[in-house]
Amino acid sequence: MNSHFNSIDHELLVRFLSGDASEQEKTDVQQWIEADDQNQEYFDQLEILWNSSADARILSSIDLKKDWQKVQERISNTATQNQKGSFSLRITAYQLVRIAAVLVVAVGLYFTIPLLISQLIKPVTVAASNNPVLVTLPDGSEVYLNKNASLTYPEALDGKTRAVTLQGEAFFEITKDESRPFLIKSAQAVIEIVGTSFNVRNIDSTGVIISVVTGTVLLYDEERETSKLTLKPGDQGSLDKTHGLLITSNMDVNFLSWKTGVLTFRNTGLKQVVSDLNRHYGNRFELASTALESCTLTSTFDHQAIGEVLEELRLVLPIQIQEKGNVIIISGEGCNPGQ
Amino acid sequence: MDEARDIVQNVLVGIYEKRNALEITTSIKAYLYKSVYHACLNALTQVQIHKDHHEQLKHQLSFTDDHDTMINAELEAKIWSAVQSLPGQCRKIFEMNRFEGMKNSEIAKVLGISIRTVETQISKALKILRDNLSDFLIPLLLLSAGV
Repeated sequence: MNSHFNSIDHELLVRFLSGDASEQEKTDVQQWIEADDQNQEYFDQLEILWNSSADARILSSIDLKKDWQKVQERISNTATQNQKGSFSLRITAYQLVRIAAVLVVAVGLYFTIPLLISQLIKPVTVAASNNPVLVTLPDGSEVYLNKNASLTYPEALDGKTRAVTLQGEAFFEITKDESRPFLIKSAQAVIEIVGTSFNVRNIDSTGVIISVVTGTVLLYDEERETSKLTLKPGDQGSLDKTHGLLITSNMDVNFLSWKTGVLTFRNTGLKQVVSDLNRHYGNRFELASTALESCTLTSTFDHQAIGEVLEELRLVLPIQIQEKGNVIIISGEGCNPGQ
Repeated sequence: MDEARDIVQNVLVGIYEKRNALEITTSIKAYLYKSVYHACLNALTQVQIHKDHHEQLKHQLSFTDDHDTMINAELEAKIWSAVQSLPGQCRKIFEMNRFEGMKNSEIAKVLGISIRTVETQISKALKILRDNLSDFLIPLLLLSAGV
């Protein structure tokens, strides 16, 4: 123990913990804590004791001896029926009673936690219907829900971990908190993050696709926590029933177009263009022939309606456009290299 | 609380009844904790009315680390028995503050002593608790720092 250790008035610490300390006293305590690691440790221990002791009062309502007697009575009733001899365990009855006390409190906690969750801290579900929705979580994290996606999370999000459930597609910007991992449950997958931005796409009940923009993301099957896939910026990871855990690099520049509203093409082959347009506008474009795949497009569409996109395509490429009901058919003879 | 006590008693009796068939390869403590955990899940699911509530519950519980719950419960039990061993007035005053949630000024009034004395007694209690539980507290601090 060093000299700082004894120089604090312990009653001052009590006043601090009780909330009775003056501003000056609070400052004095903070300074003492910061002056030495041992002080910090000592204070932390007192704080744990202080906080937990309030909860410990619940044990006053239990009469351990009486409860243990009840157990013994039930046991001896069974014993006289079975006549199998006396009850002997490798541990003493006293130890058992003490364990029982802990169990009772733990059971009490197990009851309280879900009750709290379901009654007071209700899980909140936010769903996007036809437009993306931005959800700001209590910890400052932002989740952009794509159409028809939904996010469920405990109202306060203040547990040891920050856990949410996702259905559909969403883009996450998570506030960094290394002491509290952020967990996303989607289908069978668990995605664990620490302060990053990335996209999660949950297609159906079986799979997810994660595309990472910044930071590091861990992806794993909720039933197999030992194999975790590490994803870095530019990586795309997926989990589904057919392929299990897979990693590919993320080459799709427009995977976030639903959130940004921007589509970027730079010498992009028409096949890829059509694929991105379909995802963004909802499956309406079709190439009439494979010859058209030789065409490339360089253009940017920023929050533009389909009509404008079509106009531009018509101007820039040697194509004809036909609308047949809901489908837009792009036909033509193809392009020369470099057109 | 009553339900909690019933569940624990049932688990203990159940273990007794199965004792000849039981083979516990981990510690008794770990086995008891696991049994109680599952008994709780069963009891809780019976309380749920709608199936989707049950799913949500399982989901919530799967994010609750049952280790942490056990550690908290164990800490509280140790604190409680350490408090029982505190000397007379020290214990009374500590219990009034922590268990009954009374402010130090109120305690002083009720007992007819000075606030300073109340604070002294509580700090004495804390010191005793800390000495009794330091073996348990140090790993606990390491645990919470690591998560």
